[in-house]
Amino acid sequence: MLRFSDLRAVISKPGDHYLECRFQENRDLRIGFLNGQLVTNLQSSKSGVSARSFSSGYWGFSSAVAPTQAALKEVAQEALKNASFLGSRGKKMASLQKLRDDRVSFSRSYLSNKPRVAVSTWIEYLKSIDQMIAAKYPNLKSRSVSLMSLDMERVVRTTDGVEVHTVVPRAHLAIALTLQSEVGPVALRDVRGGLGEPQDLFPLADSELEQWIEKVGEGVLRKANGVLPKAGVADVILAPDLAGILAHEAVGHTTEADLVLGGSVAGDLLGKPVASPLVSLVDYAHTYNGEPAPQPVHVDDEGVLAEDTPIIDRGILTTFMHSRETAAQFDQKATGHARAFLFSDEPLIRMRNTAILPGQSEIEEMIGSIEHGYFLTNPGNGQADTTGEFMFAVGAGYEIENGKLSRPLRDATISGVAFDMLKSVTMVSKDFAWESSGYCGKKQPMPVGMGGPAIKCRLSLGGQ
Amino acid sequence: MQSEQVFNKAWELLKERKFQACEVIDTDSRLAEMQIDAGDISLMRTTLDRSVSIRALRDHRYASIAMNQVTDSSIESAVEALDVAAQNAPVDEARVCIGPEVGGVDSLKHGPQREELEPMYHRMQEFLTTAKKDFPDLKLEQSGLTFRSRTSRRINSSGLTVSEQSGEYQVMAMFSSKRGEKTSSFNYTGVSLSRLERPLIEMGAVRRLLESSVRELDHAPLKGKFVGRVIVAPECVLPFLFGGILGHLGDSRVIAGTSRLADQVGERVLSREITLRADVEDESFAERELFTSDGYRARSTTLFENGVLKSLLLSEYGARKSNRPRGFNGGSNLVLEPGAHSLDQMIAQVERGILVGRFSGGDPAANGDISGVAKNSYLIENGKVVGPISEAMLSGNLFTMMNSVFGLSKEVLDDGSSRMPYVGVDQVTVSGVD
Repeated sequence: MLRFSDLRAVISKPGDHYLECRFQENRDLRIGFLNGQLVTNLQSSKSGVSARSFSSGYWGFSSAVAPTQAALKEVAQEALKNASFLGSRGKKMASLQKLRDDRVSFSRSYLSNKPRVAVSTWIEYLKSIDQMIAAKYPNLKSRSVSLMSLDMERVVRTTDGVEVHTVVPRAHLAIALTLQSEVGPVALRDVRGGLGEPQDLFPLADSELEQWIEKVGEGVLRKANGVLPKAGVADVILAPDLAGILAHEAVGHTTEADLVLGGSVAGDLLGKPVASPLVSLVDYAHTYNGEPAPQPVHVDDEGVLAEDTPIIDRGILTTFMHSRETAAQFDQKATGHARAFLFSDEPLIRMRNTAILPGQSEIEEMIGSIEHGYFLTNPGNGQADTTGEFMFAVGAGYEIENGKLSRPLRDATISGVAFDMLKSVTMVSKDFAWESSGYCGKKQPMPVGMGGPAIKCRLSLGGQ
Repeated sequence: MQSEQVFNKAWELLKERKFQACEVIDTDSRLAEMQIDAGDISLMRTTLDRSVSIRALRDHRYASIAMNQVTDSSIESAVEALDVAAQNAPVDEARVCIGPEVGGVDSLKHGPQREELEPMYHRMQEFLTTAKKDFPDLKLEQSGLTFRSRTSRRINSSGLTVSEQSGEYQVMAMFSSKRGEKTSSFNYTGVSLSRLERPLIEMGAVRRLLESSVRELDHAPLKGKFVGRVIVAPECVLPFLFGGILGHLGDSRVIAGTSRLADQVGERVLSREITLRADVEDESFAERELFTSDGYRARSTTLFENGVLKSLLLSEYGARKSNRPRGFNGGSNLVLEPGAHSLDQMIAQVERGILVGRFSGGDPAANGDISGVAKNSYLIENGKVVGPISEAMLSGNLFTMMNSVFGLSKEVLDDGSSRMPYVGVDQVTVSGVD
C-alpha cells in the first residue's frame, strides 16, 4: 500500500509534462454453491503502481507490480519515455482541459464500520440459503447461490497537485435456479446488493430472504410454462431494473465522447430532441436523492472533481461524457468520467451511475394502458452501437392482454434504436431502482450503477 | 522470489497444516501496446505483471487463492486463507489430486518473447495511412497493436514441473463509418500474429470488414418477418453458433446435470457437414493452448466428426466428478472443416435470408434458445445479396440450427487462433420492423 507521501516523492512539483501516478488494489471474494456443493471459494488481490504521462499530444503509460516508491519512479520514467517515443515520431494537436480546482486533496472510504465477517461464516450462510431452496423446490434441475464482493482502493497524485484516496466496495448475492420443462431447461437468476462490504448488506432478514427465494422459485416455475414472445415490434412496460440497463446501453454509451469521436449517432444530435419530454437522464457522480449512488466517484483518475452529468434534459440531448482530453476538444465541461479498472489499466471514459429520472405514473396504470404488449423484467447482458441500436437480454416477463398481465414469458431479447425508442416513451413511473452487480465492458470491465423507473415504450422483441 | 521458492515456502507451511497436495502456478507477463483512438495513434503502454495461484487439498477438501504480490508475508497470509477455506470446503471424493497424479518435467515455448517497437510503430502508421486512404469514411475507435508474452511455471507436490513461454502480437480494430448524418453499426476484428511481416490491413478479415463497414452506411431497416436461412460469416461462427453448444461439453454444465450432450458421445448430434477439431498442436497458429488447465500437455482432438460427438471437454476434476473421460485440451484452436461450395454458391441457395456479420444477443438459454440482433448484416433475396440491413432480430435454437446446416464454404478465415468457414443454417426466425 502506498500513501500520499510516497506519491509526493515521485511527483514533488509540477513538471514540464502532465503526469499522474497511481497505486491501486482490487480485492475480490467469490463464494459459490452449486447443487449443495461449495464449488467456488476464491479470494484474490491484484495491486500495483502505474503512471501516465501526456506529452506532445500523446499518452505514455506504464505499470508494475511492486508497491514501492522505487517501482513508482521507474514506471513514471517509463511512461514519460513511452509518450516521448510517440511524440518524437508524430505530430498531434491535443491538449488537456485545465482543472477547475487544482487544490483538491480528497480521501473517502466506503468500507464498513462493522467488523469484518470471516469467510467461513459466509460459507455457512450461503449453505443455509441453498438448503432453504432445496427444501422449498426439490424438483429443480440445478440451483446456485453465490456471493461476490469487490473492493477497489486507489491513491492518485497528479502534477496538477491533486491527491485522491478512495476505497469503494460492492457486494452482491445471486440465486440462479434451473428447472426442466417440456422445451428443455429454463433458468432464472436474481441478484441483491450494492455499495458496501458484505457485512453491510447481508445477512438479509429472514422474511426478506424467504420472499426473495419465493420470488425466484415461483418465477422459474412460471417460466417453465412460459411462452416465447411474438417476434416484432410491440408496446412494452420495462420494469425499473430494465430501465437502468436501457439508460446505460441505449443512451449512455452513445454519448461517451470517445464513441462520439468514433462516429456515434449522438454526435449530430447535441441540443436536439432525442427523447420524449417525459425523459430526463443523468449520470450521477456519487449521490442520488441524498444517498450514495452504487459506484460513487468524487474525484476521477485524472484529478477532475466529479459532478453529475445531465445527459438528457426533458428530451433534449445536452452534453457528452468526457475525459480532460475530449473535454478540451469539444469545449465542454469535464465532470469526472476518467476511470481505470486495474492498476495496469489506463483511465478511459466510463459511466458512473446512469439513471432515467422517475415520473408520475403508477405501474398498474401503465399496464392497464396496453391492449396487446409485454411487461418485461430481469435484465441479462446488453450491448450498444454507434448507430444508436441497442439490445439486451430479458430473463422474465408477461404478456399483457387487455390491460392485464397474462401468460408468463421465457427468455427474450429486446432491441431498438435508442433515440427512436425514447421518443416513443409515453409513461414513466414514480418508482426507482438501482442495479449494480454487473460490469460495463469496453476495453476494460468496470463496475457501474444503472437505475431507473418503469417506462412504457415501443421496441422490437426477438421470439417466434 | 523465484517460483521454486514460492512453492517450497507454501508447501512447507501447508504440510504443517496437514495438507496432502499443493500446486503453485506463477506467471510473469509483459505487455506492450500502441493504441489508436479517434483515428490516430494516441497511447503507448508497457506493463509488467505477476500472478500466483496456489491450490491445495486436504482430506478431499479443496481450496484455492490468487495474488500478485509475492513476499514471505503474502504467502503466509495465503496459506492461512487456504486453511480456513479448506476447513469449510465440502468433502468431495472427486478431489483426489491437483493436476496430474504422476510428476514429471515438461516445457514448451511458442512465439516471440519480446516486442519490437520500431516494427510495431511502422505497421501501425502504415495501417492508419492505408485505412484513411482506402476508406475515407471509416472511423477507427479503440484499435491497436499489442504484444503479449508470458512465462509460467507450474509446480506441484507430485513432482510435476511444467514451464511455458509464449508470446504473440495481436492486432485489434474497432470501427464504424460515417458520412454526413449516416452512421454504420460498429464492428471489430482481431488477428493473432507471430511476426509483423505483412501489412496489418491484409491480415485476417481486416480489409474485408473495413470495406463492409463503408457499404453498411446505406443500411435500411429490415421489414417483416420470416423463418429462413442465414449464412453466418466466419468471424461470427464461434461466438454465435458454437459458443453455446461448446458450453454443453465442459465441467460446469456436465457437473450441474444441465448438459444436453454429456451422454451423447458417439451419437450424431449435429448436421453431418460438421467436423470440428481442436488443433492445439498445430504450430502455425500464433496463439496456442500449450498445456491444459490441469497441467497436461494439450493434445489435438476431434470434437465433432460428421456431426457425431467424439469428445467432451472435461478437466481432471470434471472427469472424476462425472465419471467420464478427461478432455485432452480446453477446446482452443478450433478448426471447422470447410465445405466444397463458394460463398457465392451458398448465397445462390437462399431464397430469402440474411448474411450475418456479427451477432449481438443474450447468452443462450440452457436449452439452446437464442435471440439477438443481426449486426453488420445483409439481406439475401432470390440468391443475391440485396443490401445492408439494420434492426433485424434473429431467434432460434442453436441445436435446431446446427442440425439444419445447408452448407459450409470453401473460403476459410484464419485469425491466428482458429479457422472457420462461412456456415449456412436453416430454421432461423428473422424479424424486422413492421
